[in-house]
Amino acid sequence: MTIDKNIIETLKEKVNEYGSIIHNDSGQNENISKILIEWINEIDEGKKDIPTEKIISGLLEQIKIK
Amino acid sequence: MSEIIELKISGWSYNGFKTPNIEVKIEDPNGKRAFTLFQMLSGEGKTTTLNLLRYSFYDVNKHLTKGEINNIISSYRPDDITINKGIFQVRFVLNNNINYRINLKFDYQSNEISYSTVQGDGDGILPGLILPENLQQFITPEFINKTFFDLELADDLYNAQSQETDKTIKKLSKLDYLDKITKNFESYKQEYIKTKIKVKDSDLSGKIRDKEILTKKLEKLKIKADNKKREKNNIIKEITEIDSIIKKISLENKDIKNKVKDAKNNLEEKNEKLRDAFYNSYNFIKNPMSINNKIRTELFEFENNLTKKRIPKAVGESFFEDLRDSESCLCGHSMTEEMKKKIWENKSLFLEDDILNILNPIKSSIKKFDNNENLDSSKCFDSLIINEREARMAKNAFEQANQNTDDEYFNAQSKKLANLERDLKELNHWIDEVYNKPYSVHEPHDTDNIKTIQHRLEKLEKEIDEKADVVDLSKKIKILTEMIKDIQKTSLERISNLIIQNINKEVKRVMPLEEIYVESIKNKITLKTKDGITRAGNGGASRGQMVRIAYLFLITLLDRPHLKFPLIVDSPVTALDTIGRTEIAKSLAKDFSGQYIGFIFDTERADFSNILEKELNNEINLITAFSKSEASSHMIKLAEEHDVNTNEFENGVVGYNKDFFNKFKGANENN
Repeated sequence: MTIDKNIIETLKEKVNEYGSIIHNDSGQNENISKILIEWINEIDEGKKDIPTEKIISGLLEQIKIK
Repeated sequence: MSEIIELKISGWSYNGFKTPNIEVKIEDPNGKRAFTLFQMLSGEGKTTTLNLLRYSFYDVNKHLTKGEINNIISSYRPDDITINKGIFQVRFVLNNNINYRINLKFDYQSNEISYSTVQGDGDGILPGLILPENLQQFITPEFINKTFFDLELADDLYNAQSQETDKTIKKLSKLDYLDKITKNFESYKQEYIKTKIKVKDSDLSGKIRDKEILTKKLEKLKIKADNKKREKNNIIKEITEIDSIIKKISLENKDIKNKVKDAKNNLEEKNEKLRDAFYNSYNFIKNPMSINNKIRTELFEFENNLTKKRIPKAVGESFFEDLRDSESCLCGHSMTEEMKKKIWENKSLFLEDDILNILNPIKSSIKKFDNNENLDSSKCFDSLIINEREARMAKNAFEQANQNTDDEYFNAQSKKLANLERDLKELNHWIDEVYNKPYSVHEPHDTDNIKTIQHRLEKLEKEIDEKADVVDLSKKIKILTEMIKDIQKTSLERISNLIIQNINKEVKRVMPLEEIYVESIKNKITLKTKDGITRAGNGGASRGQMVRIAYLFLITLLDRPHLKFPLIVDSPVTALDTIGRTEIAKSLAKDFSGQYIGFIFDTERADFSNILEKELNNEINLITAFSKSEASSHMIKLAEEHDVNTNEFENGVVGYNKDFFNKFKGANENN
């Protein structure tokens, strides 16, 4: 992995932080982090056909708003 | 998973530029030699080479205006007008196995720059600049201008307007990937809404169209603001330069005015002395005692007799009365009436006041005559000649001093400064009073106020969300977007802080006598003292200190684990003292793992190239290039003495011999 570890660590922290706003439990936070990190890596690999629609739908499914 | 990208320049060649037509090879035996020093004399093409290398990595046609391209072409065109094209070729190796050749063609007739690329070792030339795909995401003019750097122009890193540091850190740390993610969120939402539009819902369609128009306007406005800010930055830079020229001229003018004043005083003094000399000479000439000894002797006698014959008036009156009344004269002869009458008449010759008044000055003048002083005629006339010459010289000096007070250039610069200040005022007005001013409901439809446009967009978006029944989705997208922006902001801060820590760790070694630390690299480099006193911009820091910090910043910034891109530096140690040169050489050898190419003058070798050679165990290319001319005969002789092939190129020489590199000098000491 060549993404700066500061970005990955910050991403995980911020997802947890925002988790309280979107009323997620820790499992959902982990899922959101995983989806985002995978997405960043796919961009880094220069992948042409990234399924962004599927990724975003997956992310939105993890979010609950009161 | 993306691979590590390593790019190494393996050489370049020029043909049809102001530089000599030569080919430079960067040797890299076993793929381990990363350092090269390329030595050229001033004015022979160091900066031209740096810029040609820059233009080889981004297409100037996509990033520069036609006017800027025309300026580049005309400044690189050789004096020989029969040459109608120039070709610069750079060769590089990607990851130690794929060779690339980029050709830049300067067409001096059509004023165009075109590109062609050769990938691999084949002969197939592809039109255009085609860089390796995995490299394209990093290569921007901003990135190239940092990695191919002119240390004489390090000021940009200390300039907040250009926000150069943040842009580069974001690019190199791949933080710009997060921008791509947020853009995808927005596109997703737009596509989702489109699927919800009912066929006859013209109101919603209209709002979506309005939003698209407003969004485009916002993007254009941001580009306009960026251009205005860049223009402002350039104007500030230009004002600073002209201001310093004006101050220099004023100082010189002050000096000239003082010189004129001194010349005037000197002229007046010499004229006064000349007047005195004339006066003395005239006095000398008009006094007959000065020019004739006989006259002088007679006059002395005359004065003496007058003194002897002097008769006091009171006594004289009674004496002449007694004589008139006596029967005989003093000589014993009897006096007739006629004699008595004559004596009485002539007594006035001895006793009258007006006669005394005439005689006395003559006597005084004769008595005052100073033999020793006034008789030196040669001294008197020599003084006249000397003073006349000195007065003439003083007059010439005064006229010469007056000629130097020509204020034409000074006035032109002052006028230019006034125009620039007016332009700056207008730009500031647009940025502060139009673009950045608070939101107002009264703003016109076509406003350039970003807050108003953003407010209108938010309002439209809310209306669309409600009408399309996507409020929930919109909220989720908004939260995700805010979170990603927050991740980007915090990551940038953390990465920047690590860079600052790494730079500051080196400060003690690189600047042992004057510890200046980096306080912040947000938008620009801000310095602080050991005691924590902030030094905004370059305030208080010397040029040498700024350059050393800029060097540490670049080494730290560019030494990324996933990217090894060449660091090319023009005039790498010009502004540095011996300690700075030595320690920068050590830092480079120790900390920089990519390719380093330094373009140096002969005067920059001291305390730099020898240190690099030592630190790198001689694993360094030391290349010298110069053009052949009458003035270069001593260089050609020296090159031949070191087995450099001086006949390889028609109008230039390239030498790879290290002794030749170390002995090379532009100046001919035998002259």
